[in-house]
Amino acid sequence: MAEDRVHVTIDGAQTEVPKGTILWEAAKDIGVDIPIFCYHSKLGPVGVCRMCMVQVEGMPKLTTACTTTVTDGMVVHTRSPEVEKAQRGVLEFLLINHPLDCPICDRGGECPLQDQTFQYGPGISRFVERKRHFVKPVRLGPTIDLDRERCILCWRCVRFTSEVAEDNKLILVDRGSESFIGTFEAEPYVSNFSGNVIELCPVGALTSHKQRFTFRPWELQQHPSICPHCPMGCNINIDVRDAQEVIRFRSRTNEAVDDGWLCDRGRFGYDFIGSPDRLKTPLIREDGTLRPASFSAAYRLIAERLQRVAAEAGPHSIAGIASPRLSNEDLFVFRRFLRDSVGSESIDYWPRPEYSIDSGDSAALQTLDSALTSIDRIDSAALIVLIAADPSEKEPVMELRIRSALNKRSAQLVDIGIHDVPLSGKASAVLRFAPDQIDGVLRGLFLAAAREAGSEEFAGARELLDGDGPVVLLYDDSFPDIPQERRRDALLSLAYMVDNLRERRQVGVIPLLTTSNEMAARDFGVMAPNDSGSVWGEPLVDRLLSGDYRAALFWGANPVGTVAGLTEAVEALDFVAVSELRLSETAGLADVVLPASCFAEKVGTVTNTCRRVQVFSEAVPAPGMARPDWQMLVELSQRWDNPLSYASPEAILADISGSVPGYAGRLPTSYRRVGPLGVAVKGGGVEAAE
Amino acid sequence: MTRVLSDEAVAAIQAERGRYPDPRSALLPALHIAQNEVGWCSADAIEDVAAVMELPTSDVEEVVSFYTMFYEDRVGSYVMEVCKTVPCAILGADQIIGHIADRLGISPGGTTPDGMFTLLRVECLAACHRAPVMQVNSRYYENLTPERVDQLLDLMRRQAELRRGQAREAPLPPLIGRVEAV
Repeated sequence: MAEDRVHVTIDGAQTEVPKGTILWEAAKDIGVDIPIFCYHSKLGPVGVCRMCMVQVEGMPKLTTACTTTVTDGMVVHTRSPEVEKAQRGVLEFLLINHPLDCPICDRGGECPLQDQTFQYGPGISRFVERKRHFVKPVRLGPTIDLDRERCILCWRCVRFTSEVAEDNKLILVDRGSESFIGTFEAEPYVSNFSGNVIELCPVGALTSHKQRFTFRPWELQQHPSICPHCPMGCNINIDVRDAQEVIRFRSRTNEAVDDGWLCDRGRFGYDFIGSPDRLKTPLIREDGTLRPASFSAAYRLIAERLQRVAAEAGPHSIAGIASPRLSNEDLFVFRRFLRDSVGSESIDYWPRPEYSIDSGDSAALQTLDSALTSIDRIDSAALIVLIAADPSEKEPVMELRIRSALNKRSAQLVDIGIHDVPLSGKASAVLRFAPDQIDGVLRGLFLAAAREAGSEEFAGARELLDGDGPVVLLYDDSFPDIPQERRRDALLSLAYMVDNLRERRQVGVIPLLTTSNEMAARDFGVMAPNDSGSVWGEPLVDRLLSGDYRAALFWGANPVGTVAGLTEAVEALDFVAVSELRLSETAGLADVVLPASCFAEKVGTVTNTCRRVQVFSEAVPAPGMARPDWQMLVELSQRWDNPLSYASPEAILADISGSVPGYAGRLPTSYRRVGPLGVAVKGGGVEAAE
Repeated sequence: MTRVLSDEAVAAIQAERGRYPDPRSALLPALHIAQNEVGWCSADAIEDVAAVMELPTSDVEEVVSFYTMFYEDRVGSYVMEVCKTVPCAILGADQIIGHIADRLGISPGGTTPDGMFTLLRVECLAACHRAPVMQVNSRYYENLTPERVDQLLDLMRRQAELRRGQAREAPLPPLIGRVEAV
């Protein structure tokens, strides 16, 4: 034990850290703040800014804390007169070319250079010569503006593109005092992850094109939230001005989920929140036109018409279709409203994948579900397998997690799929197949007959699968490239693969889903079984086309315009009610439209792709009279004989925690206890196997 | 894939790659091969080199931009690279650069409209003992004075006129101030 730990004394305080720890990290662990610009825990040491100079006893000169590995018995001083002189000197040099435009700089107020100059700097500059000048700003790409005069050449952005995103987009051009950040041949900086360099930049050199000159950091209040754009569930802070206006999303590091990164889709995808076309009142159709109305009039009409349909054609002729973007609370109450108040089992979410599987295939689904693992298991995997999956498209930050595992931890990647994806270049073995051959390929990797046949192309993948250590399999849950009638075979083969691998290795599965809260929509039963008892058959939206239904509720779902022929089918219904953020195509056909608040305007939880339940908080008020969906459903249910009685979203959370299989016993009953980083509910097959 | 480099150049780069434990180390010789053939490190040349070297184009561009002896723009027949570092600067490099610039009507980094001369300020040429010094194509000219620069410019122009229409890199007059080759 003692052999892999070392003792170090920093400013008189003793601490014990694992061998190989970087001195700066060791100091941070015991609360000693050493100023840095170029070092970043996620990027590793480079030692170019010279700001983290410290004095190590026995060393003839000062050394950089970010490139020094702690050794046993090391005694370090971070506040000695020599260190302070060095810090003043480094800052004076860094400020030689840095413009004093803090009053108009976006970073002013949250700028490490500003803060550290104030704390450690010399106060005055002796430099009277001309500063270097550049044309500014330069538009680096669609998202980023670069002010080269402010740049202190810390390389963080360059290292991010070469080490983390591995797209090698940003480079350091020229040399010495003339060098600057740029791109190859001044091509635009286009990347799925470009926004991260704004947060990495320790000065105001890389700024958001979208937000430039629109805010000052000290005007903003932070609200912890969860990115709503994919099922990964990256943690964000919503920065709000005057308790009204969403200014930006920033990452709120959750090591178990996002590792501190955001993709551009998430980071810049907030315009919809304050959009002028948001619905502000309920709308009721009168003489063919939707007109503003009160909630009570809207509720009265919905109840009256649905109860009439139920009396005439039975409650199951009322279809309820929810969006998997809704929160756990909304989805759970939608399900209860339909089942308990309305009495209908005709419920589904849209969009969702379609498999022709029946109840007899439940063992396979069970296998996949029991192997569900957590995102951070990717870090310790020896082998990562993509099965017809493109994480970069479905859950982009997963790509960075996989790259990190492949680079830092010598994991290997097998890419089994129909076409190349951005991660294919990192694969140790690639297996390509025609869309209708997926089952043959997945089974062929394990079948003795196929082994003996010894197909050459299988050899590499097979060898890796035969190895040791934990495996994480990622598959695209909707199998978009596989013909519908072959998806059942794909799922069954995948389960077969998991079962086979499990005999020898730890196996974890991560399904890449399509919409942010899709996992909860499934867990809460927002999908009705078909005649054969399976919930995975033809989606309810498609069954609307058959004319078997008389009324429909679309809760955040907008299939009209996407599903062919649906416009006519919806127009033919007796009654349609829609809850939406804006007047969608589907809402445009409704008899009643209710104005919903979005995720940034309410408290609630979402369940991510690996069943981690995370909390988002209310950041801004909803526009006009818009309300949370759960609230509108509870209010609406009062007009039925079996009303719902939730007084707050937390009461719904408690009910979920008490009644949903897999959540019961794992999900705390209050938001405070779910905590800022969320909790994992049922899932984590790796744990189960251990 | 290769667009501007000849098969011979690609083969030469491949051969260089084989000479190093880490093939990436062959980037400098590879760029010299490309520049000798193309005349400068054009974007196409960089892309070709990157493809043969199996490196991102951005990495190659970083190296090209770092070294003053790789040309990021098209250059003239005579590339006059005047040392700008301290010993030469103390002994009048700026005066030499200014003089050449005046004579040719271009500023450092520029090329004469006839495509004959390019003037560049470069990092130390390692001949500080005979500063100020400049390198024209592959030859050193040392202990420079404005008068010697004038002589040299005249000779180079006359030589170019004699050889007009011939090889791109005209041989230089064996003259003034030239000490041992490096």
